[in-house]
Amino acid sequence: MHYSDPELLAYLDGELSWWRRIRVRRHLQLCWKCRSRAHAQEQQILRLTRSLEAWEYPGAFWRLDQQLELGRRLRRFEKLNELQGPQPILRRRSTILAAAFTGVVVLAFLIIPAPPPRSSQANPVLTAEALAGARNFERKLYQQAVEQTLAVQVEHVKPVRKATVSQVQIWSDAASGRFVSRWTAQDGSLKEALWRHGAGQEYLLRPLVSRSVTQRTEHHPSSDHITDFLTPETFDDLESVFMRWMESRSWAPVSFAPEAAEWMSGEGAISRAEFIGGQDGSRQIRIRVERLLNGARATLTVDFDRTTLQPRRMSIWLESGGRVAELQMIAKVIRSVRPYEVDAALPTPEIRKVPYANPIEAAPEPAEAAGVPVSIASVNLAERTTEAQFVLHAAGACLGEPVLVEDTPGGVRVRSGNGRSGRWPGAITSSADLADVLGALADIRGAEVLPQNPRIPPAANALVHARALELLAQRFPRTITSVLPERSRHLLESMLQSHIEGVRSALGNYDPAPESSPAEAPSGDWRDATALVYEELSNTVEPGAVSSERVRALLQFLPEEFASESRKAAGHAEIPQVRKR
Amino acid sequence: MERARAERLVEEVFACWGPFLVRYALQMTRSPEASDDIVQEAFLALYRDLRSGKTIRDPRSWTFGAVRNQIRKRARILGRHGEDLTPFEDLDRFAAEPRWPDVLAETADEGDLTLSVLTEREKEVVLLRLQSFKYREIAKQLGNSEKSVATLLARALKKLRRLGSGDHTGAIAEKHVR
Repeated sequence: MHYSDPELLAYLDGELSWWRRIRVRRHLQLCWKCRSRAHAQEQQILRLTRSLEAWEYPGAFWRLDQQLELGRRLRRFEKLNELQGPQPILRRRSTILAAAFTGVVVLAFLIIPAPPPRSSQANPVLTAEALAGARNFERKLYQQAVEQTLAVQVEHVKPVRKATVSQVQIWSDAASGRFVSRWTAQDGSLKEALWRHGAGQEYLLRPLVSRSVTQRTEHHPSSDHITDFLTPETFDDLESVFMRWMESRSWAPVSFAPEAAEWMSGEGAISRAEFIGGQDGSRQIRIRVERLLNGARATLTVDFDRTTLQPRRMSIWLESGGRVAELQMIAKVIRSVRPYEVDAALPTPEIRKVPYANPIEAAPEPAEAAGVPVSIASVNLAERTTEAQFVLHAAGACLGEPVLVEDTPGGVRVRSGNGRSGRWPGAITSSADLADVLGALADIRGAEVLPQNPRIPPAANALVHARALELLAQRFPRTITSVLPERSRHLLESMLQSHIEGVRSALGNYDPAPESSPAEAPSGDWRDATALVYEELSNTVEPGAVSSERVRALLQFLPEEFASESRKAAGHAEIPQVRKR
Repeated sequence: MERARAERLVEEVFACWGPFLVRYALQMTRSPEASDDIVQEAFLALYRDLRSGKTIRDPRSWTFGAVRNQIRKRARILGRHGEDLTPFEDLDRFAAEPRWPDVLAETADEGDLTLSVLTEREKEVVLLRLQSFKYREIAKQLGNSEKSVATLLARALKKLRRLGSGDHTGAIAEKHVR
């Protein structure tokens, strides 16, 4: 006797009574045929469950989408019910009980003092699901090569209303580590460009500050959340906050979901999720989180597409002490691209090499320029430029030393990176801001400053100082130096002095074959003398190619223009300290 | 029942039971749009009954019954008008392109395991059993005996096994005979 298929299946499914179960089990122990049939059935069930598990329908977003649809149908049903006539609600016992309970609760609220506000989350399921879906969407997409376009709107509402609209285009290829971001103003002019060709090859360009490209090795992203850059002091300039954030975040497409998650996890955050209709008629989910941010009231709003959960818009609204500002990012385009499109978007860094041009020859200076009244703006610019240059020179950046630049409340502080070089290791500037200093640094670095090296001939070290002198000559043509305020002239003179001393000390023990030709006198301008010194020293890697005597003679011309009242007023030739004014 | 309670109940049932129902409806109608709509209608009907004060002991069975009725009703209407439900072309592809190829490597060799070779009743029984229903519950849902549930299941497995082992002619012939 053998058991039938249905009986074997019922045995496997545990559907038989205990007595029959025992009988079937005993039979299976004896009968090969039935046992193999039972095994075949089990295998088939396994295959069936696996193949059904592999169905992609209903998909990941089906449940959310259909839940929303169901909610809509239920509401429509309720509306129709209301239209058909009021229900006799008072006749229902549950309603009366609910009303009585509500009354008791209201009374309790009136009697008991309100508890302190605590973190609350409305619609936690929807919020969590939307956030998880959006995160998933972003994570999956950003693993490929993508192009992202964001409209960035910065609006200062109070005390003065002003708004700027700009655009950020990002191309990113996570596999190869390539990244490009271009931040352009509304008129199409470039505000900032960041790009990376691969590990260790990062470039920054800030055309507003400097025309040079800054190269840096790979940075360590400080924070991906823009919230960490928002302090009440920075509310007035959200654009620079945005710029700093773009530079220091990990270079990848901008994602909104982690920001919202970060906000919601914060202490005392009040979040709310709701369904809205987007401006383009699409159906969207809006998550709004309110919290205190460094003493300011801040509200984060993130809109997601209801079907795909693609993040569409993020805005941060800040209120602090009568100041109100909003930073808004709207996702215009997000699409996956071919890797060669990222290639096309990547600019090739062009280190700007400016050949020295004699400013006097290039643009003959009118003699009466000194007497022309100078507008305040140009004075400020000159002052800021000088200070930015000065702090960098003081820390040794002009000699190719690494420097640390930090933005402190008292001003931008520049410190020597290795601690040994630099005459003024902790120079701080009060008038120049971070952008000025970084721009000046980019100019210095972009001009390929030669590193100092004790093993190469001392004349080469003199060359480094001469190159720094030449850079100063380029940065301060006569048009600027003639209108420099006294303090800035003082700073410039200090910079010149330090480099002149640098050249002199490097050439101190160096005595190559004396030059046969007599020293030519430069035209009397220190910029010309600088050019000649640099030219003289350019061939000094081979000993004997230059006369130290001649260089020394040239150096005498350098500080003449500034050996004026300011130095006498200072009473010494040391570098004056930049104090906070 | 009050609105909030009814809504919550319907949402809870939908969250755990909706995906199965839509899968079931898709098997029957072969049209995702139609199956979405049918499931939505079933849950709306559940809500309507709850709101009107009816007592529903087992909302799962109730909605399943509602979905079955809806499918039959639609098939009747379409049959009367001589139209066919738009077939969902990608349905077979889902079975053929599993998401986890390593797990399904052995089944992939043996062909697709679509349920299309099964009769309507067999499909129902298989899908309900896959949701871990007991024979007694399945029998109650479909209005037949426990014994016939076991028979239907065994027959369905046999058909699928034959299909999997490459004996397509048998399965197809069986389909035509039916």
